[in-house]
Amino acid sequence: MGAPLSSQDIGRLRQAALLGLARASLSVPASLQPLVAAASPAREGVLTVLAFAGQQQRFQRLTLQQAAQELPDAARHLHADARPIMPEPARRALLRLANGVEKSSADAVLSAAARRVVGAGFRLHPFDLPRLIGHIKADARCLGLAERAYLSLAEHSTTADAPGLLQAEITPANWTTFPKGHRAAFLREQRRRQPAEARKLLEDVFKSEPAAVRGDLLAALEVGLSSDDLTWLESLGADRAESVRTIAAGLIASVPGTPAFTTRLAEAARCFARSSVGGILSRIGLAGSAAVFKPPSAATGADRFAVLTKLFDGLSVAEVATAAGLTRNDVIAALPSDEEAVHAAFANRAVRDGDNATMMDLASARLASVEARFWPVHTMAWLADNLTEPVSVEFAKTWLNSASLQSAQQRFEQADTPASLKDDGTLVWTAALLPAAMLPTFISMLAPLPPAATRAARDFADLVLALETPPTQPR
Amino acid sequence: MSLTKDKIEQLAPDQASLGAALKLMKPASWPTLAQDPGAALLWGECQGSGATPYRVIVSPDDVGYKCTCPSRKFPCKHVLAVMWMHCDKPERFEQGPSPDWVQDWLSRRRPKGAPRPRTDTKADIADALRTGASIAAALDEAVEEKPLDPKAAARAEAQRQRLREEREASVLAGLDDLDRWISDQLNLGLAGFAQRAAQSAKTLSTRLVDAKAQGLAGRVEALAADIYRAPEQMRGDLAFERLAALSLISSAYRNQERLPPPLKADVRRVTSWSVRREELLADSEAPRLAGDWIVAATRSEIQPDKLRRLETWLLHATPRDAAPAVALLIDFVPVSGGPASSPFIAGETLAGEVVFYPSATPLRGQLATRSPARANVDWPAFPEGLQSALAAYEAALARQPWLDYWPLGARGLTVERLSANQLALADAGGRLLPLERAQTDVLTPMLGLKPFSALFTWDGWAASLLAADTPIGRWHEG
Repeated sequence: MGAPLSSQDIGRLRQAALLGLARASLSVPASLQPLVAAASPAREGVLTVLAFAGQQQRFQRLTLQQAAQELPDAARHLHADARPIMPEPARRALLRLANGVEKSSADAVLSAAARRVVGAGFRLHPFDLPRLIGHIKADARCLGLAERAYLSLAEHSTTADAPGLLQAEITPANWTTFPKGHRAAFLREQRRRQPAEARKLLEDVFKSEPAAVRGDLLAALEVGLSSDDLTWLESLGADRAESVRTIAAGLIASVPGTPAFTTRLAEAARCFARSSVGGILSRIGLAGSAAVFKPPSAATGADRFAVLTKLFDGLSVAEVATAAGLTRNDVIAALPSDEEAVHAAFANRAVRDGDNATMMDLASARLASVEARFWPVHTMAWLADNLTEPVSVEFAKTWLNSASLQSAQQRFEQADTPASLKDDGTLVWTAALLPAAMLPTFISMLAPLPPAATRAARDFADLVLALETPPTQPR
Repeated sequence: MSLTKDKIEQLAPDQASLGAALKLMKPASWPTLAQDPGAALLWGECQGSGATPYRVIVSPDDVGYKCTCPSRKFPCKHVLAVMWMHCDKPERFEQGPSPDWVQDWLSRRRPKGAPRPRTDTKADIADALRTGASIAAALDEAVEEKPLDPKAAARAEAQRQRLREEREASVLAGLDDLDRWISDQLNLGLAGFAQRAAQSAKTLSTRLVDAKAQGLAGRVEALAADIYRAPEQMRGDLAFERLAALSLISSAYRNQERLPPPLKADVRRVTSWSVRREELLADSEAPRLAGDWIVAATRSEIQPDKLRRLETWLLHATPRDAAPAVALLIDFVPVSGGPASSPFIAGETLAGEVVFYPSATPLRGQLATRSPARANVDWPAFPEGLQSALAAYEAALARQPWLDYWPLGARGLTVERLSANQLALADAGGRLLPLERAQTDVLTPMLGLKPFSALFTWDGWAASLLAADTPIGRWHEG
């Protein structure tokens, strides 16, 4: 049977319906006139015409008269990443973690998880990127070619905005095509290995960059800073942007070997001195000459934090220890756990140098403090964010036996309200930090605890263990 | 094993729960009933009133339990029934390794001996106050349920007939309101329909609910939201087609005696009349399909009537012809009951028989039997390209003119970009079907993938991807 209405009929009926039959009268096509004439009440005739026209329109509108856009470059690169996609069991664990982790710490935890995936040589499954990218996109360490390509696709950025996003890796030849954050991270990495070459890379493009980019890239020179950098840094005293001049001046003050630096280091070293303890312990030979921390006299009252920050800024534990004639461990042991400014300065320097051992030593000292027994989360999160590999087995053993962790376990065992059943981060950050070999021990410690508190930690542990397990059948 | 009838009586929250559990002890209610080799864990799947079975797990040693039903009683009748059956008829429990969903519960539950949160205190007090729910009493009550005498049965039947007639008259009056409303909209013009749709449709929907035409009421109420979701330039056309479909339903209902039986069943169901699960399973004429199924997608949507609609899309692994065999299981749960989701996990497989509601285009069904699927369930072979899929849609639309959407399968598809916010399914012949804008984000990673096989719904306006078998693995909605 042929269609009862022609395209023109449908067009006219549709037009009348859109305008309103009160204004545009309905012209009934000849093929439907007998039906309409027989209809009672009269409105049934109109409805019959509507039903016919609407239904026939549904059949006529089956294909799309529109061309697709050309496939974006980013889409090609999304699937051209040479890294294998993460194994399916690890993928399931990661998605469980994404669904179960506390919202307040989701970005940090999922970035740490993504770094474990990347560190194991895998990439995230492309189908999971819509779920995860919002959490990890701020952390360049999580973003390989596929993740950057997806970001480019999802945020509709064009290759003109940041063509480097679609490069397989950032190199000295293409680093200027990457976004600012990636470039700064690259420069820091280069500085750790070849400081002079890295500075040269920056020098070559410096003048052509806008002030904000110049400032951020210049700050990356703090890694591997030496007297070789002085000449160029001093030339930046004439930069047109005040922010750049300020950063350059700060760097000059931190160059080892300069008089300003040497004076500051000596003053910092004087804060750590061996003190011979008097009294009965000394008389019976039990008192050692432990190092103690004694801040300079100017560091008092409200200015204490600012003075110590300025004094210790950019100094490493090793530099201070050498200048004070102490060992690294002496300095860390002498530093009171509540001396935030000095801790922060040492920690920042250790992060800058990628010095995992000092980071762990500083964290150990803080985690052993009385305060940390009730609130170790910040230290754990900091470690997880900055270490370039899991903690050492020794650190892991110490932490698993620590009073802090036992105190957290007791809290969860006694938890009796939904709020207290939530992991404050202690457990999930523990899972994030531990080496795979220590995870089975940790999982067995979680067994007696309420599932609500341990879910994210277990999922993180499952993820790490699944990444370690070789896939049974590669796709 | 420490489960005894005494213990079950102590656990039962009330006498009614034991009575309800007793009624569940028919083998037909339990497509799956099993235990691990040491009987340390019992589990079963009970077919309740919903389209999907409730999953029950019991740990007899420490009387731990879990059931996916929405009951507020703890333990619910399903848990009590499993415990009771294990006491009375342990031979009904097959032995085997526990499935993933049991393992998952086991890995996440509070271990034996661990202290319970103090929040249970009230429950403990309630336990202490319980006054002897009794299995004996439940059995007595069951025996006392005598059949009605013939006269009473006839009176009840007459009453039911009178109510049916009243309801038919009420629905017809509702259809008069609907026709009048559509005429009014046509007179006012559909160009401005989007602006007045929400209020106007809400008023009519309320009247249709009063007229006991709930199915139509739901369609009318959804109209405004659907039109708002469409791009502005398409809203007039969409309103034109949707009102045409409503008019068609109204006309078909009035003339239902002239329709073929499946289409008559469709128009009655879409208007007002539902078919109970028991009726459907007992209907020997209802189409059935057994075999291995892939849970292609799960969806959850809150309806305007404060019910959560849980959809489970099952894809038959070996369709009998080129078109995909798909079953849609739908459950409704009250939003007030808290978060709920399909008991199935998208991507899992199962074996079973689906009974479809009689229809010119059978799709919605009930899972009649259920068992574990074969180890490896392959993705079915779909026809190449979109042409035959669109032909299948056209054929379905011809069979059921007010069809909302229809599942289609095709291979050799790619995802292409139509605009910054819209993707499309494309085939090698250059045919394009726009994808739902709501799926743009989740489907963006499919851009640039080599051709794949996909199952999707198509409503004539937009495709909605349910599942895909791609070179980098399967994608499932849900």
